[in-house]
Amino acid sequence: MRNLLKQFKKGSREVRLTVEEKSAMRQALLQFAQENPVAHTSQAKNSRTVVSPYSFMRKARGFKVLSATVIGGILIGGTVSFAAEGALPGNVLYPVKTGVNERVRGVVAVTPQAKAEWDIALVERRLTEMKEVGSLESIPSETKEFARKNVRKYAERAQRRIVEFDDNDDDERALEVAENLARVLQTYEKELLEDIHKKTSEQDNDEDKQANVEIKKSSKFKKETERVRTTVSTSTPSVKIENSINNTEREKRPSEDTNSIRIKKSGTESLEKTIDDIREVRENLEKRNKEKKAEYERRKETRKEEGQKEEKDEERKTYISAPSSESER
Amino acid sequence: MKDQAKEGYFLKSYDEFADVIFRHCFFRLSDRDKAKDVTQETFIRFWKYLAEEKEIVNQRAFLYKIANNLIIDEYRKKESFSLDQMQEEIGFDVGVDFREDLETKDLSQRLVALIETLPDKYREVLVMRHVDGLSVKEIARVTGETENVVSVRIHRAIEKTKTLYEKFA
Repeated sequence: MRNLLKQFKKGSREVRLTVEEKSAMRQALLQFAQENPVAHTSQAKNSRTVVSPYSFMRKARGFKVLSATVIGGILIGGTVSFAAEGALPGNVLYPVKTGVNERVRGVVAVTPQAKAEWDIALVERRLTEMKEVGSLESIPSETKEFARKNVRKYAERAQRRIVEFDDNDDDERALEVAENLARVLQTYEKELLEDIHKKTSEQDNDEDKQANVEIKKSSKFKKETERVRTTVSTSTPSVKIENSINNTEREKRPSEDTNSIRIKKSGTESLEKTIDDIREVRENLEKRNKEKKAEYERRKETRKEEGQKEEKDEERKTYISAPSSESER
Repeated sequence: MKDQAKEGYFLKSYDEFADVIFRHCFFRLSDRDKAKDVTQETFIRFWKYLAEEKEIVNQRAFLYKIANNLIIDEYRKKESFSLDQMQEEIGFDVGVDFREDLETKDLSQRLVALIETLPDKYREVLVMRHVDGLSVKEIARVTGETENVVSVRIHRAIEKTKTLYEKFA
């Protein structure tokens, strides 16, 4: 490749202005400089008028009613948006939170880096909502699904920001954003997992209690049936067999019931799905970061080598040029 | 600086940098006449800046910065043309294949033709680094990017040139 670059440099040196072109341009520039001397340019600069960005306020001075309406609007709007900050998916104020509050804060973030940070903060906000919504049994499954999809959507948005940095060759920032996002996802992955464990262990305790009550009930029932059976069995052996079958079936029943209760009650499916989603994103990010870091280190080394080579070349040039200049003297 | 001394400094700068600025413009615009116009405009703006008695830290980087801004303006002008319009008015053919050029010219010329096909963000840094001989720091100052971004971009530009060369050579 070095050879190719050398060839390219060689080819590029052939591109230059002809002597006529160069002298004609020189003449034109000299004429321009003489026609536009120092004083003339600075005068032109001072003659410019600047319109104040607040000039509209002067015009609006007479409209007192208007200003009162504006202030009232700001106050009401401010209260609504403040109240909306704590809203969860399914809440009336939730669209205000995502559509107004967050959009306004997003506009404040001007630089690409600030935008990326804000996108990560949004992912964090969606995960917090998922955490709260997921652990509440009263929330319908559609709302939980909506919150889960929101997490996915915002995580994709933050990932797009990384791609943007990458396209812009800003791998340092791409790496930083990717690492931050992966860290946030990892933290919430752990927290959501803990929530699920906590919830299932609580449910297990409830189920145990319920199962104990059922066992007690069934043992009472069993004793009574046993008593009846012994009296009947002596008369008909076929009934005995039937009874024994019924008994085994009854023994099975409590465990089957508890299983169905677990499925109905748990409601952690959306949390589990969210964990799967964010784990997938995090693993992809970590894989990407690893590869990029290796590439970054490789490039750093080649840059170092090139720098050393350039320094050596310069040293050699000065060494060669020094004696010749002396001889000229 | 007095007026005459300023004029002298201006002409000296022109003699020293006219060719390199022209070369830079040529590789970015792939058009000799446009490159000449932009070179002249670069020095006009440089004079205006001198006349306003503003401080210039790095003369070479400053000239490249002016030229770079003017080239970006040229690109914007170019974008306003539709492809149909270009085909009708100036006979521009979209399907021009530079491979034909590569076969007829010698290696260095072929490479120059190849570099003209690179996306501008890569062409920009490649030309500054390997034609103009600017340092990464100077390129960063001209383009307004960080040094890291510039070095990544140079690296990718070289990689891209290499793949293009292997594809068509």
